[in-house]
Amino acid sequence: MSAVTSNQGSTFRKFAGRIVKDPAFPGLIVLFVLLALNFYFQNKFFSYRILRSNFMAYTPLILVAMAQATIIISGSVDFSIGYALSLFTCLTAVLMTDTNVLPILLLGFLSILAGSGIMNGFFIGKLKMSPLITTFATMTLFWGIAQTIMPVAGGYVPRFFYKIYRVKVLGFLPFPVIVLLTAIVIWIIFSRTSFGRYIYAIGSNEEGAYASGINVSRVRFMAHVVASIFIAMAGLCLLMSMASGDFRVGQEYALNSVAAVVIGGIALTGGRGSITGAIIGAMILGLVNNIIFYAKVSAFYQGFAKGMVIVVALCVGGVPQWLKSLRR
Amino acid sequence: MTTTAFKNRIPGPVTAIFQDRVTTAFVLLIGLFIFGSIINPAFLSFLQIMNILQASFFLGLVALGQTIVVISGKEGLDLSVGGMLTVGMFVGAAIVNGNDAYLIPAFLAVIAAGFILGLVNGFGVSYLGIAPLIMTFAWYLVVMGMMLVLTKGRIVGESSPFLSLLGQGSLKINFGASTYQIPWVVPIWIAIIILVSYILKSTSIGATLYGIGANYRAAGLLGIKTKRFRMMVYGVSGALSALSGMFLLGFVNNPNMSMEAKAGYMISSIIAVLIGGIEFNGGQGRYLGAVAGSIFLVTLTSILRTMQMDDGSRRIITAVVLLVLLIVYTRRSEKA
Repeated sequence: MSAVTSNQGSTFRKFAGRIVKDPAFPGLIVLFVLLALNFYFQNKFFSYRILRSNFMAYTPLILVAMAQATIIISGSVDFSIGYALSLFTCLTAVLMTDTNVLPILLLGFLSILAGSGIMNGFFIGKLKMSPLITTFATMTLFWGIAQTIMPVAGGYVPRFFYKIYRVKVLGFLPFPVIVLLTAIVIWIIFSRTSFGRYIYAIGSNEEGAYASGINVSRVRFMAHVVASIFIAMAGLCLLMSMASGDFRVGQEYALNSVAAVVIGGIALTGGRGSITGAIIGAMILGLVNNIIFYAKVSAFYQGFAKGMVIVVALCVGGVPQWLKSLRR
Repeated sequence: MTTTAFKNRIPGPVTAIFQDRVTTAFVLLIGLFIFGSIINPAFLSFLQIMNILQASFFLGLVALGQTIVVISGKEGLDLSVGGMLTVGMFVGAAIVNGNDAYLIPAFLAVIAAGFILGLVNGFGVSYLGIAPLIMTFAWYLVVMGMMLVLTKGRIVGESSPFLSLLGQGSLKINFGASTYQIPWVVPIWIAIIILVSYILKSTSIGATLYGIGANYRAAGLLGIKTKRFRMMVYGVSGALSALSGMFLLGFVNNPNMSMEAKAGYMISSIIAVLIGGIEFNGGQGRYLGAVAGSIFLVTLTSILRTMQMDDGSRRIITAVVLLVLLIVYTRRSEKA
């Protein structure tokens, strides 16, 4: 009898140990602290209505962070993410009418797949161009195309279509949660295939992966393509929540997604971290916005406070190592 | 058969020119000028070239900071340059406030402010081990937020007569019958280029910079205080961007803060460094390349403007030029 309980204790300890050692653990703690703070400032935070509106606001960033995480784990990075979102909203909002919603959405998906996924993947994976600079260039390209298509924000999105974003599926599940769950399922499917293991392999040790017979170019190419699926989903959510297109809308997403990924414990050098971390990181960024708003911080201080929170969250990981080096 | 013969050919003068990246950048620049003069014959006039040089100076100074950060290696990159530029502009304007007497303290304060804010970047990158990309961007958000808190979104102060003369005025030279106008910033820039090239090439500071960029570990083993040096590099980059902001204040008279303009400096300085053939792996490259890159970008924008293109089309063309350059550069370094 006692043997059984001690056995249970050790599995629990193993489980707890795994969580504590997970690179996303500091992020998780920050997330809980922020949730508590948020509850303090906004008493109704855990009410269904507020949670639903929060999900509606954060889902695009969470999806984009998942995309960025996939790319960064494979040892690459994507700055064009933000303007790929802009391009999606502009392209679809300019072409949409009451009758052609589905074909236009398909067109938007395919253009993100081709532009963000296949083009970036080809340049970075096959041609081995520097990810940072290449995606800076493609970012400028998407920006230019989006601005040419729609120089002034606007366009038309049918009412019945954007209302879907506000629908409660089965009476209680907000629509954005369904989109998120779909993305997570897609990720789980991919992570169960060899692709899921290979992106970690090429991210952490490219030469080693190459030597053991992994097609590094193709896996990195695929990482960008898989990520572009998440980007297109984020674009869809953004389009439905804004009900219009705007080439400026993506501006903040690129670096916010990188920040979310880093806060979530994913190493920018690749090969380390998890998608869960990215989701936690994105939620942290969203909650920070929320807290700053509900703590009635003056509008002038909002940018400063938000930046400071990111800086502190980034620095926390490095401080112990620095203190150790001081003592030596 | 013919292709192998081509590959094994002894490099002729044309290939030799393209072997040096700085030369390549200047050849590209000359090509762009020729293209510009085909579009508009007045493009190659002395006045027009001087105007372009004047407009390139501000970017060129920011690109100098970006250059040394990139050379210092370990994925070095400074995304906060736009923020430091704004700080330089506002601090300078607040201190000078139309009075030439405060010009020297203002210059010192601007450089100090840029340096100290840059050091924070450097501390995070070098001592706390945060990736430069994300550290400098997060700090950029904080710096911009700080500016908004301090100014409350209002325009504070203005340029002084002498500073405006430096920023927009020209040196008039009578040569024969005609008068040539050379903007003051051009000789200033030339002096900076000579000074920087000397420092990078012939002093121990330059050697340390290239050494750290090429092999951080080995530089540390040689007894260089690598962490401190790397922090200083980000400080200097901040100081240079702030200094550029001060000159820019002289150019535009009143400090202003549009987000897109700041993001523009960040992206443009990186592109200028790329066109200048400075390797993003660090340890290699010359400032002269970034100078050519800065002038190239400003010229390209100017040509596309004369062709009456809107912002969107201009961005598309810049992106295509950039991608073509990137593909060519990558192919070549793979062959080497």
